[in-house]
Amino acid sequence: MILRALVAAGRVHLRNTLARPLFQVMIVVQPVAMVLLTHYVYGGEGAARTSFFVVLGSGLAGMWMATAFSSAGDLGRERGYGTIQPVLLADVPLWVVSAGRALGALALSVVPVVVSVVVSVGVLGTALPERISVPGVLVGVAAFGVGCHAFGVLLGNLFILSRRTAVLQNLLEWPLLTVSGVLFPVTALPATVAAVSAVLPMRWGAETAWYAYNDGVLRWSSLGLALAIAAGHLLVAAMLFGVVERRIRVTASLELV
Amino acid sequence: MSHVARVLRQLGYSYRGLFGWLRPTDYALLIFVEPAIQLLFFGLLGRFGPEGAAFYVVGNAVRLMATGALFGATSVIVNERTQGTLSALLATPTPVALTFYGRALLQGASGVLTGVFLLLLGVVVFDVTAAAPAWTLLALVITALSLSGLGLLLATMSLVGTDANLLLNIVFYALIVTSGANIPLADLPAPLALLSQGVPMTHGLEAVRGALAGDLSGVPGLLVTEALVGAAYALLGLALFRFAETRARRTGKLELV
Repeated sequence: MILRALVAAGRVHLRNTLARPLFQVMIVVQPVAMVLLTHYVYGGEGAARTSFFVVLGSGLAGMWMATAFSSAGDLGRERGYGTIQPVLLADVPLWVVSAGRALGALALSVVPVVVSVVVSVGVLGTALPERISVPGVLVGVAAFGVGCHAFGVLLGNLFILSRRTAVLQNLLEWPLLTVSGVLFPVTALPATVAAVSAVLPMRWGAETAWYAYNDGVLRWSSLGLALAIAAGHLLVAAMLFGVVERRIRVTASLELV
Repeated sequence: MSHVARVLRQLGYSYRGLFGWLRPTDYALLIFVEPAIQLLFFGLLGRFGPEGAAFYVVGNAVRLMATGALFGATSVIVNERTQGTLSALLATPTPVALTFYGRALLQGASGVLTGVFLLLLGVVVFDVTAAAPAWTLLALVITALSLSGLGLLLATMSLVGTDANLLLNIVFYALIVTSGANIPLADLPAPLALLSQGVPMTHGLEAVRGALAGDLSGVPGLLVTEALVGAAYALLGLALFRFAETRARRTGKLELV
C-alpha cells in the first residue's frame, strides 16, 4: 500500500510539475544563469579546485531548488487546487504522499545537473580535474539529492501549517543555498553559520561530491553524515506529520491553517 | 478633492490592499529580509570574484531594488485579476493605463526603500564606501522611476498571457547575468552587452557605482540616459496596455486573456 502510494504521488508530482511552463523553463534557465555567474566569478578556466562550483555547484543549486524548494510547496499547491482534503482523508499517512511527491521532484532534479555540466564543460570549455572520480561524483550528487529530498519532506511538513508558503519558500531559497556549500566553500561562512550548516544533509552530500570531483576519492565520513542526517530528517518529518495530522483532525481545520 | 489627490489616494489604497501591507510581516519579508539574504549570498560569493565583494554588493543592491520594483508592479496588477476586480477597474471612466502606470511608479518608489536599505547593509557588513550619498540616492530614485516603465510593460505582458511567474523568473535570472550587477558589461558577450544597453537599470547601476566611488564625472549623463530608456519603456508599456484594453473591450475578454 505504502509503496503504491509513493509511486502514485511521485507520478502525480511529475505530471503536475511538467505541465507547468514555469518549471519547464526554469529547470534550464536557472542552472545556465548560475553557470555563467560562477564561470565569471571563478575565472572560467577550471582554476584549482574551484571549477567544482561551476560544473557541478550550479547544477546542485538547481537540484536544491527543484527538490526541496518545489516539493515543500506541493502540499500548499494541493490546498490551492482544493485537493488537500481528499489527500488527508486517504488511507495512507500524509508523510507518504509528501515523500512520494519529493521522490518525483528528485527524479526531475537531475536535469539541472546535466544542464550545468553540458553548458560549463561542453559550451564554456571548463576543464575538469585530472583526478576526478566520476562514480564518486555520481554518488555525491545522489547523496546531495537524497539530502534535498529529506529536507524537502521536512519543509513540506512545516509549510503545511502556514498559508504563507510562497513567502517562506522564497525566504529559505537563498540562505539554504548559501550554507550548503554548492556555490562557494562553507569555510567562507562565519563560524556560527558554518556550524548551523552541519545539520543539513545537502552540505555533506555536496562535500562528498567535492572530494570525488577534486581528489578522486569517495569520502565515506561525508557520505555517511549526509545519509545519516537525511534519515534523521525523514524520521522527524514522519513524526511531525503525525502530530500535524492529529492536530488537523482535532481542530477540524482540514485546510491545515 | 482634486484629481491629483484622488489619484494619490487610489494609489495608496492599491499599494496597501494588493501588496502585502495588510500583513506587515509579509511586507517586511518582501521588502527587506529576503533581499538582504540574497545580498549576503552575493556578497559572500563576490569575495571569490575578480572584482571583490563590494562590486557584487552594490550591483545586487540595485538589482534587488529593480527586482522588487518589477515584481511588485506586476503582482499588484495581476492581483486585480486574481481577486476579480480587474473587470470593474476596466469599466471605470479613468484611463486604466495611467492608473496602472501610477501603481508601477509607486512600486518603483517602494523599490528605493529596498535599495537604500541594502546599500546601508553593504556599508556595514561589506565595507562599501559611500562617497556621495546624495548623488547615490538620486541615482537610485531615477533608476527606480525608470524601472516603472518596464514594470508596466511586464505587467501588461502578464495580463495578456497567463503565467506571470514565468515571465518574472526569466527577468530575474536575466538581470543576474546581463545587468552588470555580477558580470562587468565589458566581459559580457557582445550581443548581451548590446542588449544590456537598452535595459533599464544598466546605466542607473553605473551611476550608482560612480556616485558611491565619488567619481561624479559621468553620473549626470548616465542618469539622463537611464531616464530616457525608462521613458521609452513607459511609452511602450502604455501603448501595449491601451492595445490590450481596447482588444479586451472589443472581444469582451475583460480579463485580457
